[in-house]
Order: sequence, then C-alpha cells, then structure tokens
Amino acid sequence: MTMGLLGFLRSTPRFGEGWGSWVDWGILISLGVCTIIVVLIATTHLLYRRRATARPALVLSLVSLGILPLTLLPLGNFTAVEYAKQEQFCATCHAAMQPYVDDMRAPNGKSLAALHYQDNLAPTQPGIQCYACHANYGVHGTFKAKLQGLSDAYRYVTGTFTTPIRLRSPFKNEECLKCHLSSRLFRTVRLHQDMQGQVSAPLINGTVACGMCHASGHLVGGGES
Amino acid sequence: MGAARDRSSDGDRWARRLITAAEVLVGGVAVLGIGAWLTLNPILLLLFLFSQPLLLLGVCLFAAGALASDASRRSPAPSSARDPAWSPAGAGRK
Repeated sequence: MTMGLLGFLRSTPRFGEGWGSWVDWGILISLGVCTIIVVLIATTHLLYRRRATARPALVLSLVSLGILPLTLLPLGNFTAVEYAKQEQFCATCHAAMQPYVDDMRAPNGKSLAALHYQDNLAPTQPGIQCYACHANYGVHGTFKAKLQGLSDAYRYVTGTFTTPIRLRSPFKNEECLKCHLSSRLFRTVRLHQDMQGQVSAPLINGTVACGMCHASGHLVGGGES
Repeated sequence: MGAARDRSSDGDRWARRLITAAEVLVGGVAVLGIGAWLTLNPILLLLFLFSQPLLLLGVCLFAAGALASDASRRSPAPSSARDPAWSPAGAGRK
C-alpha cells in the first residue's frame, strides 16, 4: 500500500529535482524530533522514576514535553500537508486510485487529467498534479475535507469502498477557473463570454459546469469519470 | 504539621500525575509520528495530523504540572513542622 520512507526518498522525480527538497528535510527532521521525544521521555522515566518533579527531571521534561513538541507542531503539520499534495500520496491507495493515476499519466490519454499532466499545465511545481485540481479534497483543504479523507482511508483499509469512485459533490468550476480565468485563450472563447464580452456569470458561479462541454476529468474503465 | 506536609505532597502528587498524562499524550503522538513518517502510510499520516491537538494539550498539562510542582515546593511549612520538639501541650506554657 505504501512505499515507505526509503522508497519515497529514493524515488525521482518528486519536485522535478533530486533528493534535498524541503519536504525531504521536513520528513527527516520530523522523524528525528519524534524519535528524540520518545527517547527523552523514556530516559526521564528510567532515571527519575517516581521523582518526576525533581528539578533535573523537570529540565529533561521541559525539552521533551515543551520545546520539542512545540517545534514538531508546525513542522510536522506543514510537512504532512505538503507531502499529501504529492501524486504518490494519492496513489498509495492502489486498488482505488491507481486507475486514475494511470489515466493521468497515460502518454496518449485524452482525459483532462492526462492532457494537463502530459503538458505540465496544472501545477506550479511538478509532482502535485492531483492536488492542483482536487485542492478541496483530502489532507489539504477544509477540515471537513480532511475528515472525509480520513473516512475514505478507513474505507480503503477495511475494503468497504465501492467502485467506480465517485466525487462527493460535483466538480466545482472554481477548480478550473483558478487557472483558466486569467488565461487570454479562455477569455476570448465566445461561449465563455456574456453580452458585454466578459466571462459569463453562470460560469463563474457554477450554474453552468465546465464539464458540461469539456472532456471528462478521468477516463477510467472505458467510461467517463 | 501533618496537614502542611499533606498539602505539599498532594500538590506534588498532582504535579506528577499531570506530567505523566503529558508524557502519555506527547509520547503517543510522537510514536504515531515515527510510524507515519517511516511508512508514509496515508492513514497514519492523517491520524498524525488529527492528533496534533493532543500534542498541544500535552504541552499545557506539562506546564500545569511544572507550575504545580513549583508551587508545592514553595508552599511554606509552619514553624511547628520544622521543630520536632514542639508539642501542643507545651505551647501554652511560659
């Protein structure tokens, strides 16, 4: 289900560059801080059994229960959220998500996902193509989306998910417009314009879905998704 | 004498309990973090993210325990507690 830390650190490309991106360092430093916390707590217990309030024990505890957790809080959070943007993170649920990742990576794919991926149109940095369009889903996004991601992960592990995978709500136009709205090509298409030549309001507010005219996001299993 | 000592030891006992609770919370999150980062398992990573408030709670519990420990150390014992020769019977004699 997962490649593990060593596999991730050896895999390339991730951000289109070799090992040493800040996510790599964030993961290693977070792992190191967690390990030091556990070791210090164990050491404090061994050395100061039943004397947890002795001054030397309190000094050790200040590091393990104060300074290091407060360091881990922002570091671990941001590293986890940034790592979760990676397409490898999405693909770790192989049985459910691999067809979508394969569709995206297909060299001659005709789905929107494949077209964006092959031409590197979507992301600001390579390796986060899933997140670029599904930014409101999963770990990165609203708290509700995070909870949904957790429930999806639970369903995957327990094998209670159903195929084909369905989005919980229709794909929002804003996920397309966040990139395309400022595009000259998009703005000059007559169908996208209102009578005044501006981008039409139904497109912006989602009344008219982009998917009504454009190719499906993913073409999985011979059908549209 | 006994009452002052009891209060001090009560405070210390509470401090130890708070610190132990903090160790459980912070240690648990750290162990989860080790598992999450070693395996990069998405479920463990999500659980690690959702357990961050426990980390903060652990820090607060440690702070409370440290303050309680400091307070119990500072609480002054009455002079009677320091003088083992003192007895209530002799206190009224001159």
